[in-house]
Amino acid sequence: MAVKVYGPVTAGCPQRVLVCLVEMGVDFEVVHVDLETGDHKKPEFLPLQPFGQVPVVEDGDFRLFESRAIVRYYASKNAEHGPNLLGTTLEEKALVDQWLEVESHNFNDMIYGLVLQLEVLPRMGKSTDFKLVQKFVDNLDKVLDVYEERLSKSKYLAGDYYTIADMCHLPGITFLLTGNGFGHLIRERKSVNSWWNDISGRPAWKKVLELMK
Amino acid sequence: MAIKVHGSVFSPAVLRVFACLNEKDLESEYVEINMRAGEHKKESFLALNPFGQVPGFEDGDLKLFESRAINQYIAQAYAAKGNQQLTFVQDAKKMGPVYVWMEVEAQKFDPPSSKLVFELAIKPLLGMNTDDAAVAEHEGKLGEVLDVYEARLGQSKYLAGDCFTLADLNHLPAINYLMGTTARKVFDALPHVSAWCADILARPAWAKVLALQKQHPS
Repeated sequence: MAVKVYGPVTAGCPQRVLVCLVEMGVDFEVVHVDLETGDHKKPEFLPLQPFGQVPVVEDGDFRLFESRAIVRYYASKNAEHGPNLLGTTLEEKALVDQWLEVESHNFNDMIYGLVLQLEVLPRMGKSTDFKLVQKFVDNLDKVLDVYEERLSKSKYLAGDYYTIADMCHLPGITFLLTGNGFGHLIRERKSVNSWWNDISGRPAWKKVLELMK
Repeated sequence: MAIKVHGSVFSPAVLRVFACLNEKDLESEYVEINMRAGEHKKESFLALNPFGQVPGFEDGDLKLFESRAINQYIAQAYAAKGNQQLTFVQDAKKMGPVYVWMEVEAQKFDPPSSKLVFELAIKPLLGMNTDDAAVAEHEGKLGEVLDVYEARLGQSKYLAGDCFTLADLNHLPAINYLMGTTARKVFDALPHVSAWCADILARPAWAKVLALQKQHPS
């Protein structure tokens, strides 16, 4: 039975899950949730995800939410059917966790702030706080300096191999590069830019982009 | 000593790591970083955490940062020591809910609670004024998140199931701080959440963390 993924394919958090499912050879079916009409906040949806957010997955009777938890679960559960995205030794796994936390907090907090100010609030008829936008961009600049240093010494964030720590950045960096004027943050950093070209060139990510069309 | 934790005993992230070390009955050395003097932004510390944030962690030659990653490492590296039910990495299905609620702590609980900890607990320590409007805003957001916890804890003794796991532990520093402030009313209003807070705060491993804090007054 195919795993059901609830969420619009155009939203970042569902995309994080979809790319993992494709990498790990998991059959899935996307159940569209219309965020603009507030489907995710309706009483029918809340039993699935009590915070009223996407994505949530249903695998038979087993249900999970929080995109990074879902990614960890399938990377582990389907380990025989896909690449090793988690590391092998304890130390490798620890570095994967470390850089996933960095994505989750140092990187994604800024992306979330930018998406809120530049996409969500205008759609709700509210105004953008451009001072906050600048603050997020300045913080992102500092964070990406650390990434540049790391990636100049290490092919991927956690080491020599592509892992979920790299993968989880795919939607956020795509947002920076698509018409918001932040592309230079990535393009002007040599090691970050090569790393981006590598991870976004993977067939699994290209397949997710196809789904969005 | 092989395990070293670099940071300040007032940092919630540092306390999060000590809570885990104590659950696992592990000895460690606390290396104090003078954050008021900006020591965490200096070269010597940046070698441990290039983002200039505490804690920095060492276990022999292995260096790690990010408290939640450190805790996962500790739980797995020392799987056979102390509390053996903090994670279930050998069992993907049992681990699933632990991952979910660890993410919930990090993504939903932490944003409003860490801002409240800063306004109500840290700012006073630094002689700064609390922003009452910010407090009201974040208490509101925290309340919405805790409503979901209330429903969950009405069906499950701990967040991920029947036993205390990292998913519960990671909350300890913020809950401990907020129980000493006016924000405690947000927790007190919810019976299952209150009971769960009282339960996890009463753990001996957490008492040991508070004792360490007392040994290093600000």
